[in-house]
Parts: sequence; structure tokens; C-alpha cells
Amino acid sequence: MVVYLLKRLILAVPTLLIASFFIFSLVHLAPGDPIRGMLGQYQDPELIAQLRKAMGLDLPFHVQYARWLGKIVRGDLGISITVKRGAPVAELIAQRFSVTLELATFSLIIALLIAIPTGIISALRQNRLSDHVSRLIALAGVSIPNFFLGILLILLVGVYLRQPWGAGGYVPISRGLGKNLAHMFLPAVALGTAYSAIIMRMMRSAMLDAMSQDFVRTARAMGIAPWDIVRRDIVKNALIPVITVIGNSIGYLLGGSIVTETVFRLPGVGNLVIMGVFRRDFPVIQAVVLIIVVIRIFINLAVDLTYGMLDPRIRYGGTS
Amino acid sequence: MRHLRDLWIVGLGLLVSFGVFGGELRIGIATEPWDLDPATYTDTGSGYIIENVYDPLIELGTDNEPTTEFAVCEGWEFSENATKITLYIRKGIKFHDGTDLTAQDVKYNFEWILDPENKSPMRKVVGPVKEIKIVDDYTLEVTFEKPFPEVLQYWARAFAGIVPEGAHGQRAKEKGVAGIYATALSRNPIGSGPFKFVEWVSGSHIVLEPFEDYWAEGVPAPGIDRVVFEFIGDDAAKMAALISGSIHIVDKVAYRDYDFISRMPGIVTKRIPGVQEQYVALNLGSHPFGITKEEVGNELAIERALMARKFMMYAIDREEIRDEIFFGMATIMYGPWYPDSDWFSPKLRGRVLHDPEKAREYLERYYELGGEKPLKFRMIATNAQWFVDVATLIQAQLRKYGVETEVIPVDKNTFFDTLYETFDWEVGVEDWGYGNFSALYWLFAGYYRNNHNHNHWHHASPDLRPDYHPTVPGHEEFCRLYDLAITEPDVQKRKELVWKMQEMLVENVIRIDLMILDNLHAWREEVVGYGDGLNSEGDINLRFIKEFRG
Repeated sequence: MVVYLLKRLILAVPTLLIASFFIFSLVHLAPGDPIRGMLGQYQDPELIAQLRKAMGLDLPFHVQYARWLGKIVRGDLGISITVKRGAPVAELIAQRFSVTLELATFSLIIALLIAIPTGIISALRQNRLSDHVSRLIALAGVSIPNFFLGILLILLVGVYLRQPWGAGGYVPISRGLGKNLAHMFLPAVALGTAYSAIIMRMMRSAMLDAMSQDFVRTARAMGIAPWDIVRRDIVKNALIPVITVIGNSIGYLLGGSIVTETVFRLPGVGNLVIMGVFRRDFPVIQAVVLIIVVIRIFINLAVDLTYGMLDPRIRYGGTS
Repeated sequence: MRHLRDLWIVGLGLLVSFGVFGGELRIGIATEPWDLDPATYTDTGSGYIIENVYDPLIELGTDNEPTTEFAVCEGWEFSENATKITLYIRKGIKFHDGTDLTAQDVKYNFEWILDPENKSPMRKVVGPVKEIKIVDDYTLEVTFEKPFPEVLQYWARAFAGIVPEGAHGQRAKEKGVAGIYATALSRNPIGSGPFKFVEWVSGSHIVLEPFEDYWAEGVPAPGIDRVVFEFIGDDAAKMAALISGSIHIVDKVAYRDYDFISRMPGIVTKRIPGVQEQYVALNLGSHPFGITKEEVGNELAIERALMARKFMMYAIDREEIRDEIFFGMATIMYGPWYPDSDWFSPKLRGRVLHDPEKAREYLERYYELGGEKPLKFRMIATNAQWFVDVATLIQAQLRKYGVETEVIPVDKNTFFDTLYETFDWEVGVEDWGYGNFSALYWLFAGYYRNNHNHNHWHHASPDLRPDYHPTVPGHEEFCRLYDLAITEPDVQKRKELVWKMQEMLVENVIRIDLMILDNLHAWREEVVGYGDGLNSEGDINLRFIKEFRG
């Protein structure tokens, strides 16, 4: 287990290095100049040249990359050029990461609260009305983009119900759960509903698969109570593929938050990256994307390790 | 079902009640500010905060004329030949740090902006200042190298906020490369305005609170305990927030939403002419609308390019663009200034703008002079707001003449990068907002010896790229007229010089001015008096609020 963990961590280094090169290349090769955006209508060529030089944007590409990588290794994510002029990127990310994490957590809780029971009921009552309804809802959930659902929720709550949701800007949990939820509830519903559909579909098919296994038939033949079979044998086995989907969903939730945070004006990492892209804030985009890559690598590792906990047959780093 | 709906409303009501504060004035703005230092900011979002945290040296009134209302200056006096101005500073103004605002602070503001080391974008807007002299604690004399009669208009923009002496701090080298462009005020503004800066939650909001020592009586208005500027990028979300009462004021309303919002109970709307000019930029440095480096001095090539430009001028139907895309909420331009202003050439006002016959004649002439048939070119447009729609409509209008065009959407940075840095474009569709309400300043910013107009008309400028080449003759004469106008103390003579310059630009079709969009405002009726302070620049000036019943 420890050897396996070490191997995976060592393998993560080249992955990160390759990812960092692609991130840096894509950001710098994309057209658009942050200095021009920064100066607005005051396009003074002398000033533009001075600023480019000061920010090292006049240096060859490989030199810029090497400098950036060197700083990243030392933990220096750089300074924001245009998102919040002069602010350390690490400070911006730290401020916003908790918001994204909170959104992802609430969304995941909502998704699981909807998906797991619905998936179980749907599988247990296969091809009956409740199954058809659940699948139809799941199909709709997968098909409707979360930002669109978000806009519909805003329309419903803000325009039709005239409720001043989330007034006064985002408030962290530390300043009051009620105020925080006033901001977090609708985006979490918008983001969570879409993912509940994905998880529910996986739960249903994994349940059906488990229900057709020999051990279930044996358990039934042994006269074990049906609900105990469902709880101990079917659900537990069905959870393995579901956990993979949930693991991937966390990554998607982080990605999905980009649009959701923008629509619902939440100051999270997704919102930060959108601003960084629009304003060509190179240090912000590079740092945020790199951090998302790191998170994805660790989530994948955590998912792989969870398999072993759920299924004793899975062993790491040796032969079974 | 009905019970479920009731339960939903009650639940939601309980939930949101935690998030709603009494006395909190909430304003929805489209973009997050970049920089809260009045000497370095360049974006609209920052301007909304700066307007309320600082007091300007000179204010522009709702009629766009200089005024002392809510300004640091309570009066001024020009010398006879406009080479000197005496500024009388208002007594009793306090900064948010508790210090008194005096002539020494104002002098510091001048000197900081004028110091090239500080790289303030306002430096070129301050004018030809020769000397700044303190007469007493509340009187300042500024001498110019040459007469500068338009100084008040220019300074209304250059000194959007007066800061305490030393407040900009040092450009923070230790902050790294971007620190060069951030000052101590960029994130922690200290002004003398009616509201103090409290907090900036990046990506969410900025909080201000009333400044109890503000000098003007009744400002800030009773009922305001706190002001929150919320960053709401999505138009639909912003409108929903206004309707629901989640916010009380919006920075602007989308054209398609204006009628709908105007019909909403509890919401007040106002439409006033703005300062955002929609224009079609033409690349004068390459075909078909300009000439190449090899063709410099070639009369035929110059004439051919002019024919192509004149074709464009008459082929574009501005009225259709105004009605289709802006729902009629814009003022069509006959040249580079407001058509109903005294500062706009009477010769140009009311001229025929859309004339298919003339357009055909110029196109034929272009072909006769050897222009490629059919006329083909690319139109780049910013892929935000309405620019691609405008370009597509122009594309459809030109198709009637057999002209083939390709619309290329790009982001704003790429757009300006392409226009300024390359020859690889023919037409650009964009807008431009001028923070200075002066016809002469527009001519300076767009066409004088500087790099603002991203075309090859002003090839005489020393700060242009070395590979720029002379294209349309006449720029030297234009600059000569500008130099005369900017120092001309007689208003009528100055106007006549401005008219001549405008006529030159239109005759040579240096660029095609389409229209100036109206500013569309909306606020909730709880914010009493807010509409009185709205001006063409689209500022959010909270000083005009009489009462807040939130």
C-alpha cells in the first residue's frame, strides 16, 4: 500500500510537469495582451513597452516558462496583473478556494441525497412507474446544463417569487450559516441536481448488475431478509463504480463551478479563472489551472485507494 | 401543489431573511473593479467606486459642463490669456484618515501624476503644466507652458479623486512584476468622498460605509448604513436581482431588457445619451481601405483606397443598426462628435449618411481604379455584447452591393492587439468610451499624434511603430489645427477650428462613426433622488440620493 502510494506520487511529478508546460503554452500562445487590456483607452506605447519589460513579457517564451516554473516550485504563484492589481495570486486563490469547496460539498450532498435513494428505488422497482419517472428525471438532469438550470432558478426565485435571494454579497460560513446559505442554496441546487442524475444512473445500473450476481441468489436461498440483502450485499457492491463516478464528479463539480459561480456571483475559484481569462491575467490562469490539475491527481488517487476499503479483493502493489 | 409552493416560498423567505440587511444599499455592477487608485485606474468598474470614495478636483454636471458641486475646487479664475489658472480649494474637507484636505494635497496629486516614474495613464490628460504654486493653504496657482482654455474638461477626468499627500505610496517593487502597476491605494483607497472603503471580497463585492465627516450637508443620505457594490456579470441575474429587491441600483440595463424593466412595479428607469461611441475602424495601412508601404505617394492608390472608404461610408445603414440591435436607443453620428452639440460642424450635421446610389458610384470608381473585384475583406469584432451582431448586419447590408465579407469574432484583448500591433486586418467593429466630455479631447484621443486610433492616419506620431507608413495625406494639417485650437482662448474661434478638423476626418473617411449609445439606468424606488445625478458618463454617484427607504 505504501509502495503503491509512493509510486503514484512519483508518477504525479512528470504528469504535473507536462501539464504545467501545456498550461503555460496555451495561456501565452493565445492571442491577446494583458497590458493592452489593463490600459483601457490609455494606450501609451511607451508605457506599454515599460510594463511589458517589467513583467518579463518581452522575454523569450522558454525563459518566461523557466522563470514561472522556478517560482511555482518555490511556492510563489505570482502577482495578479488585472484581476486585482498587485494582489498575490496565492492570496486570491486561498480566499476563493473555500467558496468553491463549499459549493462542491453542498452540491455533492444534494446530488447524493437525491441520487442514492432514487437509484436504489429505481433498480428495485425496475420497469415500473417509479423507475420510468426516475430515469426520465435523470435524463433531464443530464441533459440540462447546470448554468441553464441556474438561470431558470434565478428567474423563478427572483422574478416570479420576488425573493431577494443572496443579497449583499457572499458571506462566509464563519459570519453566519443563514447568510451563507442564502447565497449557497440555489447554486448548490443547480450544480447538485445535474450531478445527481449522473450518479443516479450509475447507481441504478450497478444495483441491477449486483442483483444478478450469484451471491445475491445464494443469500436469497439462505433466507436472508430481502432488505438485509439489499443493504449488505447489493448496495455495498454497487457502490464501487458509483464511487468512481463520485470521484470524477468532484472534478466535474470543480469544473462546473466555473459557470455556476459566474451565474450566481459566488467568489470562488471558477469565477476567478473566468475573470483571469477575460482579462488575460496570466499568473492567475496558470496558477488556478495548475491547482485544479493537482486536485484531480489527488482525487483520482483517493478514489483508487477507496476501492480497497470497499472491496477486500482489491490489493495494491502486489499480486492477488 | 399549492401547499408545496407556499412551503417553498416560506422556506426561501426564511432563508433569505438571514441574508438581507436593513439600511444596506446594494448596487449591481457588471464587472469587478481592477484598481481603486484614481490616478492609475482605467476601467469603468473602478470608476463606480472611485466616484463615491473620493471627491474630484472638478466635477462635470448633468449638463456635462464643469461645476464645483461636490468638487474639491469651489472656484477658479483664469488669467487673461489662459496660461494660468487659480484654484480655490474648498475649506473644511476631511480625508477618511482624519487629515484636512489642503492645497498641499492637491499639489501632491498634480506632481504624482506628472512624474513619469509613476507611469500614470492620466499624465497626458493633465495638459502642458509648467508650474504649480501654493498661494496659501486653500489656493493653488497652476501655470501652463501655453494657453490651455479647455483645462477644466481635461482635469475633470485627470483628477477623478484627490488623495492625501503621500497616499499613493511607493510603487511596490517587492510585490513583483505587477507591483509596478499597483499603488498603496489600488486595494485600500483613502479619499474624502461621502463613503469610506471597508472591504473588497474579490469576485463578490466591495463594501463602503458612510463617512460621517463628509462636508456636504445631507450627504450621505439618511437611511444608508452601508453600501455594497456586488459584481454581477450576467445581465439576466442582475435584472432578476433588481426585480426581487436583492439589489437597489444597476449600473446599466441591456437594451433588450429596458422596456421590460421599465414596466416593472417599484422600479424607476431613465434613458440618457451616453459616451460610448460605436465605430467602424478601417485599416489605412493596407488594402482595400488604405495603401501599402510601397504605394506611399502613389496618387492612384490613395484615390482608390478613398473610394473604398467612401463606399463604406454611404453603404452602411446606421438607422437599421440602431433599430435592429439597439432598439432605437442611440444617437446616430454624422461625424466624430454629438450631432446636436455646438461643437459639431454645422456643415456635417444632417448630411445624408446612407445613400445606396452614391455607394454604388464609389464602388464602381474603386473598381475602375483597379480595385479587386468583387471587393472582399474581413471584419473583426469583439465577441462580447453586440459587436458581432453589428458586424453581421453590416455584412448583410454590403452583400447587396456584391461585396464579400467575413466576420471574425475575437476577444477584446485580441481585437486591440490585432488593430494596434498588426497589419493583418481590414475592418474592426468596436466601441470607445471617452471619459472626457470635450470635442477637442475626442479629436486628440482619436486622431492626434498618439497611438489611440490604431490606424495609419496619424503616421506623423513619434510614438507609433517604426513600420507604420504615411497613408492619407493631411495629418500634419490636422495636428496644426489641433495645436491652434487647444491654445485658442476665444470659444467661437476654437469651435470653428474643431469643426474644420471634424470635416477633414469625414471627408477622408478616417473611420466611420456610427452612433452613440444611450445609457440605460434602473433603480428601485426606495432610492429617492438617485436619478438626479445621472450624467452622460454613466457614473453611479450616490451623493444625489435624498433618502434611502431600504
